[in-house]
Amino acid sequence: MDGRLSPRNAFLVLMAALFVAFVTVPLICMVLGVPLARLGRYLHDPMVVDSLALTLKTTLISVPIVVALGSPLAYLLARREFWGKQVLDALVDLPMSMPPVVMGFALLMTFAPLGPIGSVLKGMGIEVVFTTAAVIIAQVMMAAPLYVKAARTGFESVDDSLLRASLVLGASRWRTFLRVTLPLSAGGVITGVILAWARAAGEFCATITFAGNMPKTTQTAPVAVFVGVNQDLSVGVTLATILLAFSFAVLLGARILLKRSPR
Amino acid sequence: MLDLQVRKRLRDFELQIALSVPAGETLAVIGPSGAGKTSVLALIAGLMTPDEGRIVVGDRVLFDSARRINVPPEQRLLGYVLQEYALFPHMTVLRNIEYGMEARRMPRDEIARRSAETMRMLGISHLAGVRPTRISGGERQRVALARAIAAGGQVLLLDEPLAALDAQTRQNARGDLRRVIQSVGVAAVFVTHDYVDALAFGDRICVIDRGEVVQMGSQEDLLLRPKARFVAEFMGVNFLHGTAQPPQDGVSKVLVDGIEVSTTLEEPGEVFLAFSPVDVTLSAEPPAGSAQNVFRATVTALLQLGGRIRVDLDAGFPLVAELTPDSVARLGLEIGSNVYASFKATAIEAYR
Repeated sequence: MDGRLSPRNAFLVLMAALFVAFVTVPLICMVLGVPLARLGRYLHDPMVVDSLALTLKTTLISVPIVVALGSPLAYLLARREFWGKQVLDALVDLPMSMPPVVMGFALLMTFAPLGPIGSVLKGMGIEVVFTTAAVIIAQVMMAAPLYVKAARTGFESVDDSLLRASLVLGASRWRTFLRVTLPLSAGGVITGVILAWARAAGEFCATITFAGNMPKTTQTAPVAVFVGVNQDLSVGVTLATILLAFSFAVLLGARILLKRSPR
Repeated sequence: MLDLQVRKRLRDFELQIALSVPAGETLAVIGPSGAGKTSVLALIAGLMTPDEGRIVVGDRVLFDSARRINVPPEQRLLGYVLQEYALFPHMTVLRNIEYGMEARRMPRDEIARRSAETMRMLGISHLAGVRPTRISGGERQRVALARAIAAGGQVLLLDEPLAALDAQTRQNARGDLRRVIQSVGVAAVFVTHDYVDALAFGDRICVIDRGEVVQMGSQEDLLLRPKARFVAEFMGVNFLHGTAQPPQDGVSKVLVDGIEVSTTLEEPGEVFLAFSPVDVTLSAEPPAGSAQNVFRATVTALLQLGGRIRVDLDAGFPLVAELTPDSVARLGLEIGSNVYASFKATAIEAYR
């Protein structure tokens, strides 16, 4: 048992190959549809450019919000026992297990001018629904659980005795977190950031329900793909392929980075 | 100087302990696993809060339930070698050692000086740039010790500092550790489940079981005059509890579970008898010497302990002998062997 593949693993390899084919064949078929001859023109299509820019802009805001809001929660879930932890745990998973359209609808009910929060905001002259803010809120909601889960795993992997050692050596709780907990859980936290970013950048259903489909303000790349496929197939396919390439590069890069980082 | 007197309700029992360790002295706390040994250290370090009591180091009150004082662990300034060492795996040996001094905001040049000095004392200077995951168990133990003493607290807590080492390394590490503890002159509390460690380190030894101090005293007290079978077993000495008969010809018989043991005791009555395993002789034939106590015994266990072998016997009562490996080989001892075990009346310490 030296961990190498052997002929005895034939069945496993076959099933794994089926899985790989299942994932890659449709993506390859899509990429084959890219209008290579007219690619230059499509790359400059305002729909492609604007939606990608909006996606980048919104995720650069939503992912830091996810990290800021999700880290304390992930830490509590990882390192403390408290009443109602199971319930909280289930709540964290909820947005992930619900159809995104439901989550978008819930946000709409909340922030609509007649909704409980929307009416208050309206009184202050703030509109959320069908604005870029709504895009960000939808992304935070859908991406946060992924971050919390990954960061929690990271925090859990830090041996409790190291934290005790740090305290006894005279380091404050905050210093202990920065110097011991965070570096040792970096793998989980970085994975969480990447998963959250991928989920936020790919958010479609809650966004279109809650924020709509307005070029430059709420039409993110996934929304543009959907619209594009209905209007001009080539725009949709080009955009989808760019998203695919970018996601794959980020996921692969992150893995290489994590493997190299000394632990 | 460490002074503590605390009470803490743990899950299965109440920990109740009072002890005092002067600077330069080592107190060995020994007991079976689950006796509350680590909790004693956690209470001193502030990782656990006593229900009641007082902890004082020198003139600093670290905890006093009556005055509602509870100094947080990061301000107690103690050295603590945790079980399995708990070295930071993402820092080099040097960074590990500097960690506590940085947290205490010592000047940069003093940190450099002290860490270099401590590493030199422990012979680990060549490991400065290496990560603790890449060094041996014995080296890790020394790094943990260096980290604990570099910042210069007045109290050093050690939780099973030798338990993670293999037998050979352990032998060497024991001597080194003892030398270092003595040279830094702190009040040290050394927790162990191994009586050999307790004997090697403890100026005084405190035996605890289920949160209570069973006996506290010098090595001699515990070896020669254990107050309970539990202590005797822990210290690896033979212990019998019986009734002495009036002496005849300078020898008195003590009845132990229907067996007679000869002693030099003079007063009749209830007594404890203790004698060292080294004083028990084993032979294949009935011995011809002057030992008054001879028993047929069966070997129940053999245990290598450093350069000697500890032989557990059943002689109608539990008996322990300590032999050289040569003798064990010559007698062909193995579990189930039948031998004659003998010991002199004069080897027995009898006390009430």
